[in-house]
Amino acid sequence: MSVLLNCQNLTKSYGNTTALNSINLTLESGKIVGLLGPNGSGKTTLIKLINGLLTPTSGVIEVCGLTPGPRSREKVAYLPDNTYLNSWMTVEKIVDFFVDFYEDFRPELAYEMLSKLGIDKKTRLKALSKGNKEKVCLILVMSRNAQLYVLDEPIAGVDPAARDYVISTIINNYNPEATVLISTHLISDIEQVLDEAIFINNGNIVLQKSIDEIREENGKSVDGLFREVFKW
Amino acid sequence: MVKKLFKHEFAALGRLVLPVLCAILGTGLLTRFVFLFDDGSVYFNIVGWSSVAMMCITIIIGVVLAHIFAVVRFYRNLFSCEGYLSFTLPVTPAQHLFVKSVTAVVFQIATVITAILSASVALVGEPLVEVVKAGVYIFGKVFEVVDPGQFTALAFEYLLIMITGYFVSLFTIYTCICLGQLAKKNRIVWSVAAYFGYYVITQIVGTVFTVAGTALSFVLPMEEIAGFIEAHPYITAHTLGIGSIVLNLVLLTVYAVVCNFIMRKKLNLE
Amino acid sequence: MNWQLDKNKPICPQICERVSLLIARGDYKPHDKVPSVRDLAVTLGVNPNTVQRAYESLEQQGMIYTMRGSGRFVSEDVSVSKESISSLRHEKTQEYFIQMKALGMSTEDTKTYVKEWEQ
Repeated sequence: MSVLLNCQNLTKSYGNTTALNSINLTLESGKIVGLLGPNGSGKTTLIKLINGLLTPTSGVIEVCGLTPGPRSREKVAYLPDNTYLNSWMTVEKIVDFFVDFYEDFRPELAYEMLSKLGIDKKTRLKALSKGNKEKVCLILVMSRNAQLYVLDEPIAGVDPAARDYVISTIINNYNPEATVLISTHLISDIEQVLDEAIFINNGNIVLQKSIDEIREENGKSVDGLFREVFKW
Repeated sequence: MVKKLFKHEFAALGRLVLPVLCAILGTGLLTRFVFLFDDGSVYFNIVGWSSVAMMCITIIIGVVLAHIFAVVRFYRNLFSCEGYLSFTLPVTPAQHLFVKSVTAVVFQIATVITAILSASVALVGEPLVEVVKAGVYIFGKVFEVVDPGQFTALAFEYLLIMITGYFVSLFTIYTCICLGQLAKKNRIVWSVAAYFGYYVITQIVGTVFTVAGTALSFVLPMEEIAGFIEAHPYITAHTLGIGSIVLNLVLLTVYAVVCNFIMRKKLNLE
Repeated sequence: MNWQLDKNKPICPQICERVSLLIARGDYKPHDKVPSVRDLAVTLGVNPNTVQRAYESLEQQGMIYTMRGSGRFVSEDVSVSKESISSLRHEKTQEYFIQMKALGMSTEDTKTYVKEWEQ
């Protein structure tokens, strides 16, 4: 059991707006954790900080024991909520790209998943449908043997059948040495897969509990509790 | 890591620039081919010289395009949605800057070399022989006045000035793009504004230097300076040469530091 | 396997219930192999840790046992499973009577209703 994410008094502000307000958070290995909150709650800011795409205004953030940077990125697999694929590469080329830059990337696994979805490796990325592009991005991330997976809205733009596929892929890939952090607002689809839920609102962490604890204590699903807590 | 970045950068930029290089060579070959039918007629002159014109235009456009492709590639790969991939690679921003600029310069040099090659191909045969003869004659005259060793050194310095100069012009645009990223919205507009600001500053600085220089010329012992330059032409030339290179390197360092800082600390991808 | 998990209740106990039901009903016979943690997790679409905890609980209660390297199997003695299903049946019936009361039927009325029930 190792600590894969450690945030202490982590603050991020832009001018007068505070996106994250001195949050304290720890994530241990072997868990699938949901980062749940409305838009503008600070989820994306936290995720960008984890990946070194933003620098903190104050406080500490450590990813796999390292300050976010090139070395921590070797251990983190990130799926952003928009596709980062360029248009001119083929599926094969982007797989090679990942093989080149990430030592822990498993191309055989990627090709297996791609063929299951009927995506030919010679297809140009720009010729893929939106849904397929998202699946390719997910496959690239899940083919990494990373320590921390950060998935930002992995099922938002995807049809229900594909959602099941995404969820089975996450479960199948479960590794007790690694942790998956899923940021989403489609809670009812995903809560069964989670070990823990973190509620975040206005840059503050409101709650961090296991799913069963939440259901036990509140007599309702996490989705139900979310609607209550974040009522307009 | 840097090697891998280079591999992918060359592939990405190459697929854009290689067709341009082919076009440049193509027009050269075409011109040569057309001139095979030279029969001195008016009709031929129109066709012949049109193809020469086409070759020249292609070369000019090609050089400009190589530059544009490099800049657009820089922006797209780092600051559009691809940035989410580029900046989460286990690579530092400095490495990105290094690889992208070197690759751009290599392709720019390749474009120039291809242009020369294309012109040579167009002239193959008697015209090329004439050009070479003329070149030899000119160099002969030059070497009567100028020491060949010094000439080579100065030529080399000139080459370095050109190369560092191209790096500087690339990094000027890189810096403007990065400065634009500091804005919340309309980042490209702000980048253009930054470039405009840079232009204004260079004009002001240029004017200040001109005025200062003119003013100084009344104060300094101009005849002694002129005498010195006449007596020591090589030292003057080398000073100017190396001075320019150093100036370029200083500018380059400043730009690189600014870009690196913005990419490391002030990045905020949309 | 048609497992409908109730969203408003903790998952782990529900998995325990279902597995004991399958054992009590005889769908899983003694010494049958139960699905691996990973397989069950994928089938149900739930977190593997939750399945792990459910299996550990079942093992503690004596309904299944682990054979190192081979997996988990149904215990010889299925009385524990049958007992837990008994208490589940009681619970469900109690729930039913409460629900019918909310619909205006007393316990006696409900009993009569059920007796006269023809599907």
